[in-house]
Amino acid sequence: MNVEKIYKECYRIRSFEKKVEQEFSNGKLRGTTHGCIGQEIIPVLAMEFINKETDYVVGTHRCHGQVLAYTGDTYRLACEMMGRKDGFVKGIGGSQHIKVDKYLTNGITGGMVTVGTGIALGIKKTAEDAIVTSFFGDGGFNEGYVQESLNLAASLELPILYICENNHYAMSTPTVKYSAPDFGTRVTSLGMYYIMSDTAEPQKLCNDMEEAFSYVRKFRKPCVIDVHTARLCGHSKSDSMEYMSNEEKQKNIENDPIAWLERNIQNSARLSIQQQIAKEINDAFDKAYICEEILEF
Amino acid sequence: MKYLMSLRQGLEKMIETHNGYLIGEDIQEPYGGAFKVTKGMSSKYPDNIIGTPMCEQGFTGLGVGMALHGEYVSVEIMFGDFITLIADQMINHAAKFADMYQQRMHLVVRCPSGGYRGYGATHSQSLEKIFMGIPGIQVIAPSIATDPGDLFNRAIESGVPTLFVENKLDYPKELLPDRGEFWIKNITSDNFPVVSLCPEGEKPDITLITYGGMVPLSVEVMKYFLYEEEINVEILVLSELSNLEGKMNYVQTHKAVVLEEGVAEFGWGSEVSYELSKLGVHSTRIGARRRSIPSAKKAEEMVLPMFDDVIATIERDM
Ligand SMILES: Cc1ncc(C[n+]2csc(CCOP(=O)(O)OP(=O)(O)O)c2C)c(N)n1
Ligand SMILES: [Mg+2]
Repeated sequence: MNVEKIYKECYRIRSFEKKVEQEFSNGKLRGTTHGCIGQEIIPVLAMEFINKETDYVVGTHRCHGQVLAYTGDTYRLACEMMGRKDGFVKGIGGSQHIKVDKYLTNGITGGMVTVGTGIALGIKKTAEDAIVTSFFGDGGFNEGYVQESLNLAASLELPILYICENNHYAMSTPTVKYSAPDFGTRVTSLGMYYIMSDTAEPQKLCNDMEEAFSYVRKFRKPCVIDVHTARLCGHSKSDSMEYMSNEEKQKNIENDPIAWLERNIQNSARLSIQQQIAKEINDAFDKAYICEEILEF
Repeated sequence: MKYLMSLRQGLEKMIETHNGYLIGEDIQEPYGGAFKVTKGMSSKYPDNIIGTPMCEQGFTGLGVGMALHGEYVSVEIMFGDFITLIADQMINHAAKFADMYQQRMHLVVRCPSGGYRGYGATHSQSLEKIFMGIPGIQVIAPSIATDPGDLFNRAIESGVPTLFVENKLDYPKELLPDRGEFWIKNITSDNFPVVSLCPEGEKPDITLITYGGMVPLSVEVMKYFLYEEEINVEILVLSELSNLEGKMNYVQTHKAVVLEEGVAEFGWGSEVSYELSKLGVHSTRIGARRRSIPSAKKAEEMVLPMFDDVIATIERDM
């Protein structure tokens, strides 16, 4: 793993999310947002194994990290969130409805798992080399249509990698308490390959990702990688996180993968990346603020 | 009293009187629901507030089943947009039991709906028309003119499976009767009343028929015409959306504008217009345009019905 590169990508996403939080509290943004602070490394590492030319990616409501890992384009995402015409969908979509190239997401939790599975069938029928990467949340795992899709993918042998961003909560609801018996048992009982990983161990996560992607590419069969992680911010802009204990929050901060990455690069490299990204984010938002809204729809 | 508080009192009354249940995502403490309607209730009634994982179809089925078993149940769908996921439980199950087997079910599914907040295409819609015209279920909408808590209790007592359409923007609003304003002219004796609002002592020139989240806008329109153009607009606020029988007899004029937040085409307003036409009342429909609701502010305003649209329509029709 190129730690410096991964750090830079993660740091870009985190800085973007921090800026978004700040702009919301200054009353400069409207609508809603789902921050991915703490979870950045999942899409960043996934992108290391995705072929943008051919592969499809479907996402979740918590998509800023996915979109930035996919495009690196903070300006267009800032525009999208502000409803400006240079956004990925001209500001029509906003924070959670985005399409860019072969990346597509929507605001219905787990909904993209179903259509991602359909794209995989399309790929199979046309004998393309591509695969689908489908992000979803641990909460989304409990939607009926997600179970249906996993069964379809397993029984039809579809080339799709499901990446569960398992932050242990659906909004305020602790997923373990509401899920029987556990995701691994469910997935393996379908005869599907299942890998469990954790953002607290970035190197292992990178290896696990590599294994998951090569499995799907080699066998043209589905796989679920269940990545345990922690959301270090509220579910959405209005969430004060009362449902999480202080001990849990503290533990999550200690396991922050970005802190691990920082410990594993040179100080000088870290500082130069931080400076570069800070400027990039400020420029992106400044420029986005002067971009116009579309005038016709 | 505030809309949200009235609603919460209605829910509590159901629990107190019938040992009823609330089912939904994140409705327990400390969250108390995405819009805080059930805030504090799980501490007060721990056995009656049932939190669920995300599985709208499954937990609406829980509600239908509990109601079949005789319980009083209210299900919360976090955003009205997600009622697409529960259509089968409501339309092919609950509705059929109610209509074919004359089964009474004390079931109310609440769904906060509506836009104007930049939440984008899947978190802003008013989709209730999907559930209208289905025998066996009813669609009821509270508003600031129609006490939401009282209406909820009427719905749950009715024994008919109900889609109860709240509007997100209404939660913090003060109810009209408590505002010291004198617009309310009449509240009919229907089980789900029609409220008419009108300037005092004046004969109305035109009628604006609406429901739910469109009431605050309608009141602004009524005031505008009264003060700026000396035209008297009568507003009829309906609460039982899925049954128009006899309701158009309350219209006192010969010209009407029907206003809803959802897409105007193939909508509730079209049905109201048809009823009006039978009485010889000329009517026009206003609603959202047939586009996905944008997140960008100006574009969202181009799609959803706005104050200026209603003013322009009424001016044209007068
Ligand atoms: C079908 C549906 N139900 C409910 C919601 C409201 N909602 C948005 S995100 C969320 C929690 C999602 O949890 P999870 O899938 O674990 O993803 P996370 O937010 O933790 O990333 C809920 C309840 C939704 N958008 N779609
Ligand atoms: Mg989660």
